[in-house]
Amino acid sequence: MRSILFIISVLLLPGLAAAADGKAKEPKAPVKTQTKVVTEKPRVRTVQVKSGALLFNVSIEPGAPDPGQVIAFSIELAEVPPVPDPIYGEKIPIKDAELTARVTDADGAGYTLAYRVHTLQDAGSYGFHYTPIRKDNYRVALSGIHNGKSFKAELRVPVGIWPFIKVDAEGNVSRVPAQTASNRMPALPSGLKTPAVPTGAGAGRLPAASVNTLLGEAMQALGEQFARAGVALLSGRRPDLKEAKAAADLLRAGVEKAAALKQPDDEYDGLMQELGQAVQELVRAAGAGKAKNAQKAFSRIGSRHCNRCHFKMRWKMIEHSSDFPARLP
Amino acid sequence: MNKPLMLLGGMAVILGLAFSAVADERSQVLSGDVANGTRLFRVHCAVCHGFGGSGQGAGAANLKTKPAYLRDGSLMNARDDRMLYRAVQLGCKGAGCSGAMPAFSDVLSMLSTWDILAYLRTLHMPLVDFFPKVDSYLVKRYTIGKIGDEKFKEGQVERLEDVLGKVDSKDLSQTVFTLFRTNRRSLGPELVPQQPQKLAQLKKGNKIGYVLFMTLIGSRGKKVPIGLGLDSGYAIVKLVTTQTDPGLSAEYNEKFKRYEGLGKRGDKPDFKISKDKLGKIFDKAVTRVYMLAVEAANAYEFEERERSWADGTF
Repeated sequence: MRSILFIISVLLLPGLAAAADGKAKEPKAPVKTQTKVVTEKPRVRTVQVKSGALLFNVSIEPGAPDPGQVIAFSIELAEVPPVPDPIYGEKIPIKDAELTARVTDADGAGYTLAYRVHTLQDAGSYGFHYTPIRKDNYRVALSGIHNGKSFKAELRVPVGIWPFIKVDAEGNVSRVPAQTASNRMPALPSGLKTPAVPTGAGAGRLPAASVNTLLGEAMQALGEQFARAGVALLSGRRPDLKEAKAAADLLRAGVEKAAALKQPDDEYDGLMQELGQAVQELVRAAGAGKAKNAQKAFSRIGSRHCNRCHFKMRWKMIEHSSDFPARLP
Repeated sequence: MNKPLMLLGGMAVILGLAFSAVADERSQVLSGDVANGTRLFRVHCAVCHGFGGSGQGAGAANLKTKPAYLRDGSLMNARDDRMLYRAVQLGCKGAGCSGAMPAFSDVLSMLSTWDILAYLRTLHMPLVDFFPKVDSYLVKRYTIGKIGDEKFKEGQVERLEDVLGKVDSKDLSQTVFTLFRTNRRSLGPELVPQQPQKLAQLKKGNKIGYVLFMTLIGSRGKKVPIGLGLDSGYAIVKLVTTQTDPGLSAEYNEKFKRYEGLGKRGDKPDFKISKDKLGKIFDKAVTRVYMLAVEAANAYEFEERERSWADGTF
C-alpha cells in the first residue's frame, strides 16, 4: 500500500511543482506524421526535346493522365538555326514534316502502336491522340522526315503515376523529373525568344469551342448517356437492362438539367419536354425488364427527338421542327 | 561459296528483312486513336449510322436518304481518309455527297475527327489485307457488257452466259479496285484519282492485282458478303467473308481457303473441287463470283488499253 502511494506521489510531483510555478505546460506538439505533399495534377505538361538542330516542344494534356484517359499530344516542331533567322527569330517552324509516333510501354517489351501525327492549323504544329489502357511509364518515340532527312526524338509519359517528383516526409521536393530523355533540354531554354507563331501547345484546338458552353456540356452529357444506353440495349447478345436503366436515369437527369437552360428559341422548351417524356418511357421499360419496349423507346428517342431537335437547333438544316424529316436535303 | 558472294547474300537477306519490316510497320500506322474514336462515334454518329456502323441507327428511321453502311468494303475503300475527313467535318453539303449528314466541325476537333476515322477503318476490310504491299490504287464501278466496242461487249456477255447462264442485271455492276506497287514512300495506300495525268503515272508492270467486294449466294440462297483478291494473272489470291459474326466467318473462310490459287487468265474456270452436295453449291457460287470479278477486271483493262494506247503504258 505504501509503495503504491509512493509511486502516485512521484508521478504527480512534477505536475504539482509546475502548477506551483504558475507555468502551465503547453500541450506537446503532435508527432510528425509521414504525410506527402501532393500538388494538384497539372492540366498540361510541356516537354522539350532536341534532336540535332530540331526542337520538339511537346505539350501533353492532361499533364498527369490516368489509364483510359485520352492524351492529347501537341507538338511544335522547329529548327534552331546557329544564327537567328531574320523573320522567325531563333525558332523556324517546320511545316511539312511527315511525323509518326510509336508508343510502347516502359521496357519496350509490349507491342508498339504507331500513329500518324497530323498537321494542325498553326505552322509547325502537329498532334495526335492516344488512350493508354494501364498504369505505366510509356515511351513515345517521334520519328519523321523533313527535306529528305530523317530525325527522331523520344520522351516518357507516366500514366497513373502522380506526383512525378519525389516528395520526402518533410514535404521537401527533390527535383527529379519522372521523364528522362538522353538528349532532353532544360524545360526553359535560356536565350530563346517567344516563337514566331502562336503557340501554347495544348492551346491547340483540341476540345471544340462550342462544347464549352453550358448547353454544349449538357448536350455532350446527354449524348454520352444515350450512347451508353444504346450499347447496353443493342450491342451485346442480350440487352443489359440494368445498365440501360442506369443510363436512362442519368439521361433523364440530364434532360432536366438541359431543359432548365433557357434558350431564345420558342421551340426549345417544348422539344425538351417531349424528350423528357420519351426518356421517361425508356426508364419505365428498362426498369420493368421489358427489353423490346426499352429498345423501341430508345429508337424513338433517336429518331423523333434527338435528330429532330439537332437538325433544327444545332445544324440549322430546317426552319421548324415540323419540317423534319420532309424538308431534309 | 566465296566470301564476297556470302557477304552479298547476307546483305540481301538483311535488306529484304528491313524492307519487309518497313512494309509491316507501314500497314500498322493508325490515323488516330481507335479507343477515343469508338467513344466519339457512339456519341455523335451512332444515332444514325448504328452502333456497329450498320447504317440502321435509331435516328435513321426518319431520314429520306439512309445513312451509309460503314462496314461495306466497297464503299469505304473507295474513299480515302481525306474524303472521309471532309465528310465528317463539312457534312454532305460541304463534301458534296448526297444525304442529310450534317457538319461536325463545331463539335469535333481535327484530331477527334481523325480518331473517328481510325475507328471507321476498323469496321471494314482494308485493301492491305489482300495485298500487303499495295501503295496506290484505283477504284471504278464497271457494268459488264456496257463498256467498249461491240465485239468486246458481246464477248463479255457470251463468256458469262457460257458458264453461268442468265445473269441478273444487278450483278453486272461491280466496283473494281486495281492495286499497284509503285514503291512510293507512304504511310498507307493512296487512292489515285481518275485524272489522266495521275493515271498515266501508273505502269502495267507495277500492277499487283484486283480486289472486289461482292455477294456470294451460299446454300439455301443465303447471301454471304465476300472480298475477293485476284492477282494480275487472275488467280485467286484471297477469298474471305466480310461478315461480322466470328463463328460464321471462321466457318466460311475455312471453306474459301480451298479456292486460293485457282483460276488463270484466259482459262475457263473449273472449280469443281468438292464431292459433297454442299461443297458443290459452294463451287458453283465461287465460280459465279470469280467470273463476274474477272469480267469486271477485263472491263477495267479494256478501258486502260483505250486510254493509254498512244504511250504504250498498257
